[in-house]
Amino acid sequence: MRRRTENTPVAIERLTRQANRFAEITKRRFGFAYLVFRLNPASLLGLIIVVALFLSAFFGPLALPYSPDKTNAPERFQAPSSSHFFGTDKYGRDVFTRVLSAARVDLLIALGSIGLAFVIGTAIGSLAAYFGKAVDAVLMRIMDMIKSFPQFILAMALVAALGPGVRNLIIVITVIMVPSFARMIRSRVLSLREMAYVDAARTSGVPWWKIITAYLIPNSLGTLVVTAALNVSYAMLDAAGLSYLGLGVRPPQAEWGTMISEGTSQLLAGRWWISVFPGLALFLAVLGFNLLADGLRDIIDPRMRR
Amino acid sequence: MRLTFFVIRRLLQLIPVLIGVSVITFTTARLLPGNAAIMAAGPLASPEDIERLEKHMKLDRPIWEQYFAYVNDIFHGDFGKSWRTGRPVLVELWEHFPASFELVTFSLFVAILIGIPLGVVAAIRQGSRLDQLLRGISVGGISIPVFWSGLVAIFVFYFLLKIAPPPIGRIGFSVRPPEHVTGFYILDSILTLNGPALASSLSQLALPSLTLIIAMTSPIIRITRSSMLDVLKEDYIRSAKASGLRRPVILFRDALKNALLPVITLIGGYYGYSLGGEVLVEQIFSWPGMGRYSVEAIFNLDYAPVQAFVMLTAVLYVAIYTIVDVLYAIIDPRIRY
Repeated sequence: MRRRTENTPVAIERLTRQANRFAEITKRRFGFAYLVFRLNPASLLGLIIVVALFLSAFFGPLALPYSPDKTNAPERFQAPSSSHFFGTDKYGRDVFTRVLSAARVDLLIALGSIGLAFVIGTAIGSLAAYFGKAVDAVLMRIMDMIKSFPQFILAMALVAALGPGVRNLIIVITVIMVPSFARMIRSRVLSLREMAYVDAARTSGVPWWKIITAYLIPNSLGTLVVTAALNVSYAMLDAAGLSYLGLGVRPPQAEWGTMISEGTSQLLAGRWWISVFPGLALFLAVLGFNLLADGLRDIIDPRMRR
Repeated sequence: MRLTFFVIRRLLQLIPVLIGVSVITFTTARLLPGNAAIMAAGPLASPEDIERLEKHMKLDRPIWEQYFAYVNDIFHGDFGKSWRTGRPVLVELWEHFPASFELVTFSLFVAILIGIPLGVVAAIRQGSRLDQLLRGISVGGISIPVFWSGLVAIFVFYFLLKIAPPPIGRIGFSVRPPEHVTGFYILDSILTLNGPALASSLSQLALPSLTLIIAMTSPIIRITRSSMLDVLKEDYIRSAKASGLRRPVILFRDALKNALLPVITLIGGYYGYSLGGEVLVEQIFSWPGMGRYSVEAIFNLDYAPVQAFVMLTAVLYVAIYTIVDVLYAIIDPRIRY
């Protein structure tokens, strides 16, 4: 580690002020109102879609008269109507209710796996960058190994090995997402590490774990939040894609990918609503997160724009 | 000279990556449910047969010894046998490769032809209605799940409009595949002057490639646009403008040429990813590519094909990335990592 000679009380005080100013800027940039205010119209639309998605996932199934899993044979294959907005499937289940109830599962998988990947990736990336040398080499080589597989195929093989189900889907998507977070925070910490206030903290005896958690990570949050927002949409597509193949969420549990797959065989009988509506919901959800992520990136970290 | 060093160093960097790939593939395959020996022996095997087979497959040896045996086999080109067909996995994958290759190459080619000009136009007219429209289209394109847009395409073009053939694979029911020359149906039909086979395989290709083109064009538009915008801000573009060069000359000779580098990286990565990775599209259209073959293998608990498929797609992916990196270094002498 490079050490500086500026450890006189005056210098330390000056550098602490600098650190505080940094934190202040970061905090201001994260005020919710501030973000919403600066979003462009398209991203605002994204935000609205995402909020609507959360609201309907939480309250939708409660407000509807049908149960997502209860079969009702006499009412099977009904086309969309005022009593069944999205029609019914081959067991007579209300597709609208199932689409809303699936939103819960898909949000849980996407947000759960991105949350986990966020925490694990941040830990790995910041440790690698802070300690450098062997720690960096070992941790980042492992990340490279995961990155050297096409994402969806690795996910497919892992979920085949672990078996289907919501929990395993979350584990697998976490594994394939961790490297993005680790790489992102690593490059951020590498540049932050050279900042004067980090040096000051180090020379005045602040322990390494505190430097990482109190100085480096808070100042990388912007980059991390953008990475998370961008990856939520991929996580959703992967989860639904795996379920579509029959490797993810198992029927009768309602999940968008599973529902699309259940409707596939009905499509050429003209019963399009069984798979079209869940797909539309998935598309809208992914679109919402993508638009929101785009806007966040423009505000928080314009350099990340590609 | 420096280029040679760069290439050598880049190749050496592949060694740890490939070791990592083999470790992950090996471990994943060990985790797969079911006992490989019981599967391979078949339902009529006696317990002694299974035990003998376990010995033969080295399943009774310590795990690290199994790993080295696995790597050793790979170096001898032996990726194991599929227990369903009893044939070498490598041969079977190779037979399914042309289908995947044909679909992905054709789609990516069209996506490039559409995506790059649109990206350039969006960048030149930044902020215009057209730019906003293209931005909207490309965000939409990356958000569409292919396994859904494929179904919608089948429903609209096959079921409703009846202008597309049924989604039954690479060639129609009543049409005989062209004589085997290269394995690529379109190429083979042309080589053997087989008109009906050519027409049938082209029309079978239409919907799956439409699905892929929609998904592939969007990222190409995006990256071309942003890369073009970066380049247009450069000083040398300004001085070219100031020296009175004509606009098309500046845009296409000076700007686009430099803006294409990141685009090539993206396309290279995309190609490597897609060659094995379009599992979902292959599944919907019953396209007999490597992805569909592997999904079937997963459901039949057939270890070896899955293991080989995952391993080979990773190798393909890494190889294409390396080639792109090297090309990049040749095109742009400033780059030496």
